[in-house]
Amino acid sequence: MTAPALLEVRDLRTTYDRDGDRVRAVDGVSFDLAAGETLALVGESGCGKSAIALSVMRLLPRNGRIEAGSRITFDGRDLLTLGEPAMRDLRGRRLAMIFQEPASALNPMMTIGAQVAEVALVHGERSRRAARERAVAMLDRTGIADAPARFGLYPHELSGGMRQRVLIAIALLLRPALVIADEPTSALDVTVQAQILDLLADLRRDVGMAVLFITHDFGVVAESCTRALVMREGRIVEDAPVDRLFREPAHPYTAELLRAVPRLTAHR
Amino acid sequence: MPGPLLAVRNLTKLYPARRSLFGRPQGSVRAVDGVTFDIAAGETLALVGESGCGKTTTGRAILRLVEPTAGDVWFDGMDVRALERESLRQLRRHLQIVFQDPHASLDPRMRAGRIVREGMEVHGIAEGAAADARVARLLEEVGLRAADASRYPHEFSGGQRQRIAIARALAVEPRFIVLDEAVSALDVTVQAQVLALLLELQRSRGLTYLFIAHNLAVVERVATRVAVMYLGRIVEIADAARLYASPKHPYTQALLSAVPVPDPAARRQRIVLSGEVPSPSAPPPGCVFHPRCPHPAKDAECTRTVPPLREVAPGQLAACIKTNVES
Repeated sequence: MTAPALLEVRDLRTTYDRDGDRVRAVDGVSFDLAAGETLALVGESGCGKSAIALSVMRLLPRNGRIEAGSRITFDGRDLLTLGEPAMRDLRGRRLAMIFQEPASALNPMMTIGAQVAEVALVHGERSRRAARERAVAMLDRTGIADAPARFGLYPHELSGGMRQRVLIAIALLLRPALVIADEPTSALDVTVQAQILDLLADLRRDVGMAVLFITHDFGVVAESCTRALVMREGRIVEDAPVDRLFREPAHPYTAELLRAVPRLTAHR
Repeated sequence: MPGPLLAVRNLTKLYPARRSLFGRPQGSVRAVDGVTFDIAAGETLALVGESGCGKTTTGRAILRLVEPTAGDVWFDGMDVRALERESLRQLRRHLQIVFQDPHASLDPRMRAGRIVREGMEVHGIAEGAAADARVARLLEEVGLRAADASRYPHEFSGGQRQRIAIARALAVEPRFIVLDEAVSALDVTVQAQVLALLLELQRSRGLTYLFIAHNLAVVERVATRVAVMYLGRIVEIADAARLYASPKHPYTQALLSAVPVPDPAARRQRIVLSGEVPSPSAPPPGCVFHPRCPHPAKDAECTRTVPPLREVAPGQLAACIKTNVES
């Protein structure tokens, strides 16, 4: 008997209102994610992969809607009937998200330390001092050297890689069971990307969390995930363990994508 | 042997750094710091490196879209830096540029045909019905339809918009094109198609490219030679095959090893560099890469000596005093 999935998505349909028309971003998607698993959601722009993330987090923009008949269960709870206060409690504590653009995901008017500490305070930590200590420890854990001194810096005073570390600290502070990472390294340089992927892998082992990796980069899929869902036009066209996906893609679209991926040939 | 089509010597671009309270500049940022290379007619030199390394500024300084602070640029024997306004305008007919974001570089209020046609008219190449016919041919040459001339940029996909930008560059029949992250914003399948188009155009028209990019796997598909930049300087330059097969500079080695490999069976040693690129307003003394350099022989000399670009293998130059020279 298999353990119940941490996240169960069934027949998810998400639509956006565009000038009065309802555009289908996610068109009947079903998948399971087990505790501790690293699952990739891969596809080209507009395939609906980010809409899935925002649907699970219930952070769709105002013109977005999850259609009737869709079901999302997390931790055995039906996310689509959960009230906003309960959802807010879940976000950050059990379910967290790392965005692509740390510059826009962080509050420019607040110090980075305060933004990390706030997560603890919002989720029941009473002591400001304790919240601060946890924030410093987490910033340190994400590789921000001299974290106590940098606690009072503002986002614009940090590089893109450092800002991404702050976002990771915010997402992982409360050791969530699932982290949704939406193109977490796409805006970063390749050497910084390597650092962040290593950091995420380390922290995943520490915390034992599951990761839903949303990416267009098959290199990131191969190096960071065990299973992958390939999406096209709002649907999953292939769901396979990563080694099989690369070795013998079952769907022609997956094969086409893999053929188009630029890869180093001469090196090693 | 004919000389290079483009020769760049000690190209340098300084920006004034932060100003003091009374407006006096406090030092300067060396965005491009003594860059030297040649590009032969018909070849593609790729300029690679991470954000802020100066590759984009180098491309723009060559075209004088930003004025270089020092150094020389020779195009087909012409001293580009000495040109007055009118001669520079005429030269631009031969030197074109395609930018990363076709969304931002195409005027949204102009139809595609108008966008492609403008340069032809400015340079007196064609007008009237002759220009219409040329626009139609160009659109077809880049894989669009002649009828697309009457559509606006927003009616096209990202890949199609980049094809319009390419047609616009070709309209003045240039010999040399700077491709500044020209395929970086495109999805992989579209990216592969646009790369194929660029290679085909190079072959059919005998074009010479400066291909500026951060993606080393993309560069490998198109480059004849590759120059790697770090903090405003070229740290390694070599024939593409050689550089990919046997990188010599520790930074090139780290950069190549950091590229995620789309193959779960590949288990390789990644060189993860510590720290981040220092600010170009306060570059480290000696070798600018030394604070992050993983080379086992790194020593105090590296913090004092600015390493010159020297030949370390046939056709391969690296700026590292610790790299052994192959005989």
